[in-house]
Amino acid sequence: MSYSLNEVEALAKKATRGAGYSWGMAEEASKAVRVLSAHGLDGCGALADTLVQFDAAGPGQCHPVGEFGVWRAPQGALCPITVGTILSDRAEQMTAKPLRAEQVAQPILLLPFALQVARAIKHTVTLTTRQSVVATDGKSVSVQGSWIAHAEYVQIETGGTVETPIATSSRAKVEDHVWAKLNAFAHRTYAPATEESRRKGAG
Amino acid sequence: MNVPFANPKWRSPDVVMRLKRLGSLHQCRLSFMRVLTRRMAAEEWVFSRPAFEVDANGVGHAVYTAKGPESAYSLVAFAHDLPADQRSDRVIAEAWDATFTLFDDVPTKDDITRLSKNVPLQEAGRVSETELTLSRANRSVRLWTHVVDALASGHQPDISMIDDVGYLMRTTAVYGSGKFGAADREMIADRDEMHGPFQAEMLTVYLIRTFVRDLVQHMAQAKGGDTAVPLDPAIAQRLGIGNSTGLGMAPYIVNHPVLFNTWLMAREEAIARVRSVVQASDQEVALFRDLLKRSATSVSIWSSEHVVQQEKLSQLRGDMAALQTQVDAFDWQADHPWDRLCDWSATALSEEGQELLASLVLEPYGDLVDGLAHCMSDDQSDAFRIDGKQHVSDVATLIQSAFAWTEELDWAATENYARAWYVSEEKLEPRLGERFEEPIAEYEQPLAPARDAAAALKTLKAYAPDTPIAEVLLQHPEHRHTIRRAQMHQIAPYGEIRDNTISADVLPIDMLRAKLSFFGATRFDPRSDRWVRICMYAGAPYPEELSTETSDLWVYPGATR
Repeated sequence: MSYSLNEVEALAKKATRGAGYSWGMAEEASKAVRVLSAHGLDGCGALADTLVQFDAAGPGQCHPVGEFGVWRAPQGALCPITVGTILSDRAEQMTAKPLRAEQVAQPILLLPFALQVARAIKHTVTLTTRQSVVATDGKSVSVQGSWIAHAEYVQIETGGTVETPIATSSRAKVEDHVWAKLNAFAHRTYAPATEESRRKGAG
Repeated sequence: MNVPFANPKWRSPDVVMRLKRLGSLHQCRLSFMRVLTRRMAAEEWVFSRPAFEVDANGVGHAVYTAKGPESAYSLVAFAHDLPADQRSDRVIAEAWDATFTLFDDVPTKDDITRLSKNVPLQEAGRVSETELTLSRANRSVRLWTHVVDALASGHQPDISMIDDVGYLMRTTAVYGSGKFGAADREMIADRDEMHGPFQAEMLTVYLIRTFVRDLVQHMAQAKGGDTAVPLDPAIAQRLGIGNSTGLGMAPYIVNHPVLFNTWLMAREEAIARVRSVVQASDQEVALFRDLLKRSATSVSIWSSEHVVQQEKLSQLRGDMAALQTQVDAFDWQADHPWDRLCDWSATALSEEGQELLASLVLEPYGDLVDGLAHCMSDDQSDAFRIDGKQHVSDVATLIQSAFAWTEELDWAATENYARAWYVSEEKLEPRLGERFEEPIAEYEQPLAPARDAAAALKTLKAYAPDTPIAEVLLQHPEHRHTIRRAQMHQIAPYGEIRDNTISADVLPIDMLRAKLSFFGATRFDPRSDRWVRICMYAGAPYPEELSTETSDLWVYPGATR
């Protein structure tokens, strides 16, 4: 079905919160999904799979460890929302010396953060995996190769060029099962209705 | 820069951003409805009614098209025969007297067919990127029946009843910005006429008012046949569109600090510009005095059943008398008359009176004020990214600059966090609950910036002042939304409400009023501490009467009568 980007962002925020992330992290995830959708990429699908994957472990378990140069999770995979926010928070530390994140789930979710970084430092940022090279100058995005559900590594560095920008989109096409998955996470943020809440709380 | 930008000529956010004052704001030249009517008149928009296919039972559809210099917009209205027992203003209602969408351009037959299957369902239906808003309205049964009966039997309705109720229909929601599949704001925000906030929503309501007038005449005609008479245009003009607004709107101003800041900042700048006027001309003073009288009429017909608003209204009536006395004896020749008048009001009038005056002094100065309407949108999408290299000490300063007042609050005292905002499973509507009486705390929405700021400050104390905030965020993602807000505060000095939004005595209606006053709403009538009825466009010219002479001061009674 076709959704507005606002609908996508609103649901992504609730879903991420429902999966146990903080509100601030949920804001990051939802903006990221919106940006991906606005570039015609399946942000909702990537987020839904990420939330499922890290649901049992909880978001606290996927912090990267290691120096700024190489990041890996204490065990299992790195959460792309966590890696993305760290990247965005340290935009100015980004240099042409590649940063390497190992075993990253849904690496496509790193792209919006790279885009934010590129905007902040006014420099193109390139993400490289074994299967793809993605570049962004803070506005446009070019993609070579294909996205994968799990990257053995993602190399992140400044430099590169946006060769052929992919088309932007004002709507998001989301598969029903993905939307349902996100809704199921979002549902966890809703308080069960009680007679008392109906009587007292409603506006 | 680590202290928020602020112009020393503006009133301090410590004064402006208190809930009691935000809950006393009045419409002004920058209100979104007036911005729209001024624009439509100045650009000579053309209005037409390509369809009005409503039967004698009041069932059918109509289309109203407003064409500006570049784009056309069409209200598609569906009229329904609603059984009385289904008429509810609550967001949980499932049927309405009329339902609407604002279509981008002119709809085809196929569009109408598609919309007829979705718009009447509202939240349960789907609209698309060619629709800009989704809305519905219910009749004021008392006034509707009276007006139809009167017109059908050949005479005009009773004026006192018209003024008492103020509207024939009230909307219970006007959704925009991508809700339920509609077009995102980004799709239209680069059009001149849609760049200002809520212009699509304001246009929707403007056209709804025209439809409602036409529908009531149609129903009277159907009932009375040859005996029926049309509604006197002067009476029609007094009618606005009502609106019932509940808690859903309150979180908006917390969730959009950068946008909300632009509204307050524009108004403060407008006030500062007028206060810096050295000499007022005779015409400017005459206009002000005329509008003051007309405002007094507005205040006199404004009634409320809510005890808090009754008290405020009684103070406001006293304020109006005091203001009139002050103005009658005022020395208009001495320098800076508006500044002196506003200074006087700060101690002589209640917040209601002070804010009414602050809005009123802007009226003679369209040339100084109206351009600020272009500065009331959030064009700062980069403000979202957290600057992780900022030092802990700088972030702490930012938080303190907005929330210094919380230092005296004891966050362990239950009355200071007695409430919690949450979303109910039942209808996905925002609610405000009692934290210690209901199982809602774990579902709490991030709508208590003051409490969260205090918690973040406590955490920051454990870090060396020159620690980059990125390091704190890595260990404390729970403060991420608060740190973001703190950094936004650098560009948005009026972005934070300086009151506790979860205290035992918080009045959500103050948050509703703050937002609705910027729409240009009048006759605020709280029905509880958490929902309010208002009136929109009362006094405004209908499309066929809209001109540069009528497009602006209509909000003051007697504008063209």
